[in-house]
Amino acid sequence: MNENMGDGFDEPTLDAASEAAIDALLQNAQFITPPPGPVADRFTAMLAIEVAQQEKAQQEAAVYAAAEKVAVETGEDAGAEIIAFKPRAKWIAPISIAAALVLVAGVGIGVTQSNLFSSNSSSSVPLASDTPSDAPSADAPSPEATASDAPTTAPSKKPSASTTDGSLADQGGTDTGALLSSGSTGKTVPIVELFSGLPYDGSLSEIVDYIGPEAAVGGLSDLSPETASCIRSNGLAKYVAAVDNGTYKGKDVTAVFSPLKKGGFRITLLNSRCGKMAVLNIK
Amino acid sequence: MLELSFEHASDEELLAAYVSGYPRALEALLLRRRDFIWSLSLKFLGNATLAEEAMQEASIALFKRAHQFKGDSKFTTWMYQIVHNCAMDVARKYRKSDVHVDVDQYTETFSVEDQSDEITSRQAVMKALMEIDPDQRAALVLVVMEGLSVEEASTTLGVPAGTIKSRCSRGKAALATLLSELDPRLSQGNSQGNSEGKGSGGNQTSAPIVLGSENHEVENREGGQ
Repeated sequence: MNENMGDGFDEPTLDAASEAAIDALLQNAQFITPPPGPVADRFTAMLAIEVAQQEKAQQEAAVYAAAEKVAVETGEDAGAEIIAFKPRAKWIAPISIAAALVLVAGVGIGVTQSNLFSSNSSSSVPLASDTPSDAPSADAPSPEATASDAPTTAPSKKPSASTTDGSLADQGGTDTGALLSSGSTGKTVPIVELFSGLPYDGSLSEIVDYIGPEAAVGGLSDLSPETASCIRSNGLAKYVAAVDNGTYKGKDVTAVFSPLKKGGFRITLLNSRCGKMAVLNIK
Repeated sequence: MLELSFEHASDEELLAAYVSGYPRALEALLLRRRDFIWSLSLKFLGNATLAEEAMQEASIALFKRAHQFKGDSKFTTWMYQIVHNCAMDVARKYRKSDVHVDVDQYTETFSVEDQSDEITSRQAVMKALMEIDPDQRAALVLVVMEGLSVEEASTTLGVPAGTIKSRCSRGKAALATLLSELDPRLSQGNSQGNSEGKGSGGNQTSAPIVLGSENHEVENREGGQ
């Protein structure tokens, strides 16, 4: 504007009329216009990504702080707790969906303890809790349950194996020498069962991304009784960092993640009859 | 619940909410100011592709530096500064490859239906603006188009007030030559010299901008960048 110009410097200047004309032209050319659609879409997406990253970081920080607090209160190793907590943060959200999915998929697992399956299939909703599913059955079994009853002849597990985790670790025949165990405190963070549906005969990096970069061994109390029992019977109870359900060569498998001492995981794939299908080591 | 209140919060309140731990507050603020950031970037750069990059860089910069806003100036002034800095960074980044400032892309951002004299005149002014020195352009955009005071522009651009005045004066002199066809007063009154022609793109010209078929051709292109 004119009042902002012109004093104290030696510059080419316009006469007042020309300057006014330029000012008028520039002011008339002032605009605020929305960006073209694709540009706007990309901008919105970019913001959403940025916000998601920040919220994730906040969530992790909150969990970290909470874990640290627990560690201070209990006098336990904070590092172990924190590592155990980190991957849990993103597992919590899908629990409700997972519980519903387990209603259908869990029936097909065909664990040998027939008493677990003898209960009403719909009563298996609290699969993610410690509640046993041996509630009295008032309703008829669902069609899904009868359709997948074939695995009831699955190999029986050693009866004594389900009593203590420690003995199981040795009986399972798993090479546990290179695995991290839950330690002697016995106080571990419960594992939450995941249902990624990812193929374990495909790219494992996607699976590792899903599970998280690091994990600590945890307790089985939050797993479904079937899964927990299956893990115990395979001698893995002390070495579980994560449990996921996916596929392997087209068949449903339960993947048990055991952290290796040198980093990475050993993934034991268990079929619907609780038998070992494959053992994968990933770093 | 909090998101609902974003709608009625001021820019400064949204920024404070973000700093307090609500990332969505800044998202709301940036979406609210999206058109402003886009338009300002476009005025500084005159190129839709570069403007988009500047817009995104400015937004990321706001996410990173929001906590640095101390409130001793208006938020908008601070935003001008960030957008300008990002626009200049983008311009510098592409200067090595001598990116041609494509004014046609600028005009594409207007609706094809806008064929009025006013729009045609605006296109000519913006085209001329893209042909003068970037520093002069920035000063003119902020002071004359955006209506900032010389002091605010000085803060925004990080140069003394006298420099802002100088750049505005030089820029206007350059524009007077370029736009002489647009206003008869300019062809008569531009008698006291011109700027020294230091446009960074090396494409500064004293030839007046002529309105006509060129603009029509531009407007018939598809929108977007």
